This record gives sequence, C-alpha cells and structure tokens, in this order.
Amino acid sequence: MNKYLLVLLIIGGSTVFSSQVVGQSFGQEVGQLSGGFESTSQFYKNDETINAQKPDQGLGTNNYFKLDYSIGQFTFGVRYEAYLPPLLGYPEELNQKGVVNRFATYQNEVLRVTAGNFYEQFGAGLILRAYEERLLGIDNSIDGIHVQVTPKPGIELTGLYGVQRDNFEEGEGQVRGLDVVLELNELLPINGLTIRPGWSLVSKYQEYTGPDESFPEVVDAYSYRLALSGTTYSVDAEYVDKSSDPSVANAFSEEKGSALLVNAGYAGSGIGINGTFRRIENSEMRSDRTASINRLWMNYLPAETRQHGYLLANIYPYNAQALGEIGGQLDITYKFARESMLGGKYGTKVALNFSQYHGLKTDDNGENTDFFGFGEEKYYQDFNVEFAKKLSRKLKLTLTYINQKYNKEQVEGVPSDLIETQIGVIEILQKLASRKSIRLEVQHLWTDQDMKNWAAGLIEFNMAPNWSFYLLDQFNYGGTDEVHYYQAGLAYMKGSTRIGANYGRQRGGLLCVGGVCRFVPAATGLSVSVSTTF
Amino acid sequence: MIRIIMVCCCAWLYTGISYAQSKLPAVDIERMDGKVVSATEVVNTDGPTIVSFWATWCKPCVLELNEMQDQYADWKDETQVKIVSISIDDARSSGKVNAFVSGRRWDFDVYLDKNSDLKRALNISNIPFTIVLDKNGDIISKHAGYVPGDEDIIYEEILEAASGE
Repeated sequence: MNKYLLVLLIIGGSTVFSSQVVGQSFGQEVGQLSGGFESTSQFYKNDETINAQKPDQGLGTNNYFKLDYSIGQFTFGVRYEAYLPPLLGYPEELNQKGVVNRFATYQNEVLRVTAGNFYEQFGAGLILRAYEERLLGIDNSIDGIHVQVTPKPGIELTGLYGVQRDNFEEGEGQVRGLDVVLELNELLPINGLTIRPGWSLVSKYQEYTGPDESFPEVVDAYSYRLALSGTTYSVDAEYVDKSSDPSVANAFSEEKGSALLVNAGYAGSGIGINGTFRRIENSEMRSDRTASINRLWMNYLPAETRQHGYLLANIYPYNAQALGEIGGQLDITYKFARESMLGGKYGTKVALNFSQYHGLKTDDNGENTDFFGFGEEKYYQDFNVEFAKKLSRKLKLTLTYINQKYNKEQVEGVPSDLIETQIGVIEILQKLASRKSIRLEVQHLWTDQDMKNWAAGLIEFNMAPNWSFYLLDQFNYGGTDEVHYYQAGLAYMKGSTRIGANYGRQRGGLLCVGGVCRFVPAATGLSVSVSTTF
Repeated sequence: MIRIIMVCCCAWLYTGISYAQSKLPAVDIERMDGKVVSATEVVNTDGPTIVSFWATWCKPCVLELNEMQDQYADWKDETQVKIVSISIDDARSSGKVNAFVSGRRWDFDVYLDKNSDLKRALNISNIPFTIVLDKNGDIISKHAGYVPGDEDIIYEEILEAASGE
C-alpha cells in the first residue's frame, strides 16, 4: 500500500484545495497549497564499448514529491522521495522510499522559528551550509530547531540545533550553530559605504568510545566576516578557525583547521572585474567523523574556478582539496557598447577568467611554514577567454578558448601525469522564422595525456514555446580506442512542466555541480525525466 | 514502478488544474549591496513583473536575460514592466554576479538567492525558470526552461497583464 502514498498525498491535496475554494468564497482565510514533483528514470543496457554495465534491475529511478501548505504566519511542508532503485552513481543507501523532510515554520516581522528539517548557510558556507543538490545526491538538511531573530533593523541573530540527514537515516553527530550579522548602516550614520560584519560559531558533538582519552568529542569552528561595498566596488573577507577534528577524511589528523576567503569586485558601466583568493587547510567538517564521499558535510568548500557550460570543458573539472590548497581566480568581463568601433550594431562581449591552485607550502618535515606561500605542486590551472557577438538580429556567434592544467593524481587519487588541455569552441545561434531556432556547437579538446583528444558536435533545434530537440556526439580519439558518446534527446515544456527524454551514452567520470563532484559510471540507455511545480 | 509514476503524473494533472501558488512567498533574498529583503518587496506595483531565476553558469538563462535586456527599454515604455533577475549562484560564484551583470550592461534589478531558499519555496527544480506577475503581485504564468522565442510569449503575457485583461 505504501507505494500509493504519493498518489494519495496528491489527491488529498486536491481535496484540501476544494475546501480552500469554498472557504475563500465565504471570506475565510484557508491558506495556500503548493508543491512540486520531479522524476528521473533511466533504463540501462550493457555496452561493452564504454564498459557500461546494466544493473540487476535494468532500471534506476529517482522521484521527489514536495507539498507545502501556508496559512497566515505558518508554513508546513513535507517531501517524499522514492528511489526504486536509485540511478547509477547515487549512494546505495538511497535504495528506499519514504518521507525525508518535514517542517513547520512560524514567521513574523521579528521572529522566524522552524521545527523539523531546514537548510541554512552562514557566511560563504565555509563553516556551515545545509543544502540540497539532487544531481549530486546531496541533501544534508538539519533536523531540529532553527530560530532567527531580527530585534531591530540591522541586527540579525540565528541559532540552530539538530542532526543531519544521511540518505534515509540521520547522522550521529549533533550540530549547534550561532550566527550574528550586523548592518552598520542601519545602526550608525554612515553614508556611501555599506559595512556588514558577521560572526558565527558552529559546534558539533559526537560520542567517542575509543581508548584515547584526549580525543575531542566536541569540535568548534569560528567564522569572522567583514563585507564592505560602495557604489562600484565591494570587498568581502571571511576567516575560519577550527579546533582539532580527527576524522576519516583527514586520516585522523589532530591539527587545527583554517580557511581564508577574500573576494573583491569592481562593477562599472560595461565592465566587471572580480578577484578571489582562498586558502584552506584541514577545513573539511562533517557531523560524523567516519563519514566520507558526499555524506554529512557541514560546510561547503566548492572549487573556486569557472564553472564551464561546454561538455569538453567539464572532462577535467577541479574539486577543492580540503586538506590543503591555496590559490585564486580573476574574472574580467567587458562589453563594447553598441555603435562603438568594436561594439558594432549590437555590442560585443569579451570575458576572461584565470584560476590557479597549488598545495600549501611546507618545510622538509611537512609543516606549513608560510601562511601565504604557494607549494610547488600545482593542482589546477584554467585560463579561458570568451568572445560573444550578435552579428545580426537573428545570428549570434560565441567563440571560446580554454587552457586547463589538471592534476589528476591529486584530484582523483589515481596515478597520472599533469594533464594539459587546449579546448576551442564555436557556438552559433541562428533564429529562424516563427519562433524556431537552431543552435550549433563545435568543440575540440587537444591533449597528449590521459584519454587524448576529443571532438564534439551538438545540434539543437528549438520550436518555442514547447519543443526542443538535440543530437550530440563526443568522439574520443588519438589513444588506444576510438569511442563515440552519442546521444539524442527532446524536451517538451508547457508552463511550469518540463518533460525530457534522451537515448545514448553517458561518459563516466566526475560530475560536478556548483564545484562539488561525484563520480558517475559510464552508462548507456534511455532516460526520461519529468518536473513540475504548482 | 512505471505504473506508479504514470498514476502520479495523472494525479498531478487532475490536481494541477485546480490550484497554484498565487504570490511570491515571504522568503529573504539579498540585494547586490548585501541588504536582505523579502521576495514580496521586489514586486512592481506600477505594472507587471518578470521574475527570472538564473545563474552565471547557466547558458540558456544568460541567453534569455540577454534577449530580454535587448527589448527591455521598449517593454518598459509599453507596459511599465520590471524585470527582477534572481541569481541562485551559491558561494562558489555569487561574488562574481555583480561584475557579471555590469560586464553585460544588464540594467534590471538583480538579487541573490545564495542557498536557493526562494527557489525551494517555489518548488522550482531547474533553471532557467521565469514567473510573470501582474501589478497586484498575483502570479499569472510560469515558464520552465528557455528556448529562443520564449521572450515573445512573455511579451504577450505582460501586454495582457498591463492592459488588465
């Protein structure tokens, strides 16, 4: 009977709504019901060419159904998830179904209280970030109580306590947090400059029953932040200091941890410049000291590099090295104005990005001696430039060049030389009559290392507002094997509903979203997805 | 399993006709200068509002906003519309948003939803996702995804909303 719970929830929701309509017609406040449904299913087949193996059931399906009800100052929500079984690459522990998230929130002008599952981020997430990313199978929501108070404009206080979601279980460790954000401009007569200091404490407790009497059951981390912004510039800095946190992830190191993130930006008319510096050392934080992979993360340490939109540029994505890493990135975007010499009739956009990360500088004993020193070992480097121009009302051209250096041995833990790639992309968008358009991508990746060269082509035909079709091939050649990763797909969109299907091969490797990655196995088959909101 | 999914879809179609989220929820988002505001405060009271969820790494989102930017001046003259773009860039790229917007000469309002709180409250699965509201703040349409030409549909919707139809 459980398998029909989802259906009953939806139909039950409809019944509730019927009473809302009746209630509203009599002038009573009966609230609002809303929700969403998302389902992705894949039918697998064996494909020796890419070493794709059909799982026992031949199918993976991830399903999410969410229902929220709000009335007055209260909101109630519930989420049901069913993995029957999960798609390949997701944790085996997800092979279940049930309610994984439920909450009740009360909110007024001064106070917001949530009991149940909640998400939160302090600062840039270096100390705490509870979030959901379905593509990665991450949901580290906290189940407990969350209180936010704004006693007067310019002062915001947050306190939380709970345990984290661990697939269909809950983590052993208890998470406690306090956060203070001040907007000094609301409190003091300051003009022309926005000043926002912040401070957080995040603490975790997990029982220890081993023989080491000095083993820390409580780990504390403090965050100190300052954000300054004027009309055209901004500077944000955050420093995190973490107490000793021996865990599987850091090979039970007793060293303290730290993180420093500085971001500075300038935004003028037609020009944007942004620079980021980050140094992290032993800064991974999980609510269970035995957790690994993407389980029970408390903080968020994304790769501070450009998130590329092209397929071949994502074959070698960087993954931040929480044990120790130092580096930064620079972005410059400029748009030559319309009717200027280089702008032409529609303007021309040029975007540059550079990022580089190294290990920390250490002495002969492996001790970190120089806080701002760069170690000799390069982990990642990416230089890319993009040039985009609208050539006519119906034709747009984008050219991209990318040069990456990827330390596969460091990032993936497998023996490898440093991989250097050169990638070129030509993208053309041609609008046709009657809301139809064609988009073409031609990509090539050159490298002498690893899997050697790749060529890729994509053709997409769109019929607004409902239909989109595509054909895609990624061709790997120059090494011992030549393999085509072909795929064909379509999407139908109507209002808030999107239905998609594709058939073909999926390349195995690191799948990264928002700078966090998981390994996905190579797979061949038919994939069908549906998402909607109401 | 397939039968369950199909029954769920049918159940949704049955219920989906009946109701929908009518206004933006009171969820906090950040202005570009860091000030926290409620999503309910970003609605335009002089005309329709287009709320576009996007991210710096989302190519179709940027394409959609570029297209709307090209026509924004005309749309404002005709309908008093306001475009509100809400970036779901998280800590990895939210610091870049201001420079990204300036470097493209976008002149619509930009807000940050750094931990996807508003996106989650609206039950949005993927971006781009665009919502059109009338001047009373009532949601009149939602669009999942973007293909070139969708901006013409949105233009028709804001024309209707502005004329009070």
